[in-house]
Amino acid sequence: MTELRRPPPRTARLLAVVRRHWVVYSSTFLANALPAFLEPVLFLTAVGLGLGSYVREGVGDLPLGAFMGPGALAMTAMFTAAFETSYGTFVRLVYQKTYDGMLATPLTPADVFLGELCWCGLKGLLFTSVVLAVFSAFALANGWTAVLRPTALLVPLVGFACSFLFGALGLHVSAVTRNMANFNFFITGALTPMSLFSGMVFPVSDLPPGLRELAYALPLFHVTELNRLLLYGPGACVDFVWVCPLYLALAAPLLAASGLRAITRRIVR
Amino acid sequence: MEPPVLSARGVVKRYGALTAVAGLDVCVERGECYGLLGPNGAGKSTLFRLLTGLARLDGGELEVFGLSVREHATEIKARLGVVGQEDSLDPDLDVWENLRTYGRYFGLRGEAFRARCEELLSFLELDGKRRAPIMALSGGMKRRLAIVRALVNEPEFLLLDEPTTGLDPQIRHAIWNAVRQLKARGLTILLTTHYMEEAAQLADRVGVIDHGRLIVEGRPADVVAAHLPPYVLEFSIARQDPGGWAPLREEALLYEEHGDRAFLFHEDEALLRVWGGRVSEATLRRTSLEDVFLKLTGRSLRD
Ligand SMILES: Nc1ncnc2c1ncn2[C@@H]1O[C@H](COP(=O)(O)OP(=O)(O)OP(=O)(O)O)[C@@H](O)[C@H]1O
Ligand SMILES: [Mg+2]
Repeated sequence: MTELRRPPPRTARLLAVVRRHWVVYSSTFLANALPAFLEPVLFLTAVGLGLGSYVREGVGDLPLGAFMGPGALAMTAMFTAAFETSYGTFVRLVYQKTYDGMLATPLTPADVFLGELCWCGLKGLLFTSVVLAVFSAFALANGWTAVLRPTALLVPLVGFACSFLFGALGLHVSAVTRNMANFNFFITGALTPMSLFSGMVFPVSDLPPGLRELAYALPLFHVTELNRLLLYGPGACVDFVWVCPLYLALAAPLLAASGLRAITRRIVR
Repeated sequence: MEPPVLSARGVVKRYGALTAVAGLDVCVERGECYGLLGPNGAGKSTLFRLLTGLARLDGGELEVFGLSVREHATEIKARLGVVGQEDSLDPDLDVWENLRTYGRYFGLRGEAFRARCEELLSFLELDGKRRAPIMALSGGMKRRLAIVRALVNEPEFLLLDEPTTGLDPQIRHAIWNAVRQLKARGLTILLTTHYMEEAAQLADRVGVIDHGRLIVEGRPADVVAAHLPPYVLEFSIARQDPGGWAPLREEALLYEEHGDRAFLFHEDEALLRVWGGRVSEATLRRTSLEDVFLKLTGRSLRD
């Protein structure tokens, strides 16, 4: 009797899923990566330099462009993941039936969607690295490299966590959406406003009480603040900045677990 | 003793108030090709979804290779080949990448795996299409590619959900040919189809399900013999003189009507030939699985 075929181990299954997304992504690399990369560059140029020349005093010790860096980095990671697991997941689920094919193999729904979140994380890490490089060049050109700390090199890891978390949030939305147009509520209705109130353009502590506490609860605030810590050190941050890594370390796995449950419930009936 | 490849005992699957599978009992033995027949909505694809873990079992026992789908879905799927009713090829990848990526889900890679993919592509005459995007494939090519993809892991058990629906006769015959060769190599196959000829050609045994329940089962020829006399005279009612053929209804061993078509069944072929002279444009033929299917599942349309 021949050897029976065994399913590959969990990690190999996750890697196979990540690899699938990577192959798809890299085959249309330019169209995918260029806008994602140009957006924060244009944003930093327009707002940082354009607006910065009006707001000469900057924020705290930082020029406006430097102040906005952490938020711009967080926003990049957030949007790339949120698009991936909202529009992307929905199209694969409803129109392409990609998951029906994948789930006819040893992959479990948990493999498929945890793999998808890992892919989101990886994409967030890559995008954050690129934007970080651009941002550093930007800092060099404007003569404020001195404020940057070597810990800035860890920012892409925060990008991973941020994309993983927002990818998980996107899975929740995809699990209940019947119509693709509804993703507008998620992207334009929730994430875009969140990015404005998460300490990117002005410090959250400037918000009126009430609104300020609300902003403290938002995940993007914690990502932004952690980026700021790594870029400029604790002096530039809110004094409870040590909460931010804890917040992310708790929220990301919890959201991932409930996101996997939600999307699995939609697929396995 | 080796357990059956597929064993369903009292399988139940509900969707809200609707019971899609209502206590199904089916057994498929190793090396067998089993044809699952049934009208639209009978529950065939639901059984497939239960087998691949895309639907949760509500009752009964469903085992593949002696393993329960409740606890061993991943182990089972490692040894299964699945061609779904809807094409679920990955349209973001080209033909070759579809196979490579699918192989990775099974932990397959390397030179031997590449060679196997090449061999399978030429087996279903897709050699020239390696780099074609899925969008550029015709329906027949997509279905053949779906079969190739289902074979990359050298499955022991192949599930084919309506593999030839919507395909032209050439492709259909090519697929039948492939299925016969796979069967000859010892592969166990579960096939659903709406083409009775396909079932009669390919299946060692057929089972007819209706409303989620098995209503008959057996070798195609036996099923026909058990339910209908061997010959049938078929003609259009509208083209006959009213009343001219009415007495034949009483004399036939069995009379059936489906839409405008009348069917007179009898064991005496010579007698039917004589009757054929009394009605216009009649066809005399052997009773087929399709006649049995229509008789058993009734005249009303489903869905
Ligand atoms: N996800 C679902 N939710 C609700 N009802 C469903 C679902 N999937 C299937 N059904 C219902 O279950 C019944 C059986 O469907 P199934 O797809 O198994 O039929 P089938 O025998 O494969 O039919 P066909 O020959 O048309 O493919 C149908 O009435 C169908 O509407
Ligand atoms: Mg079906």
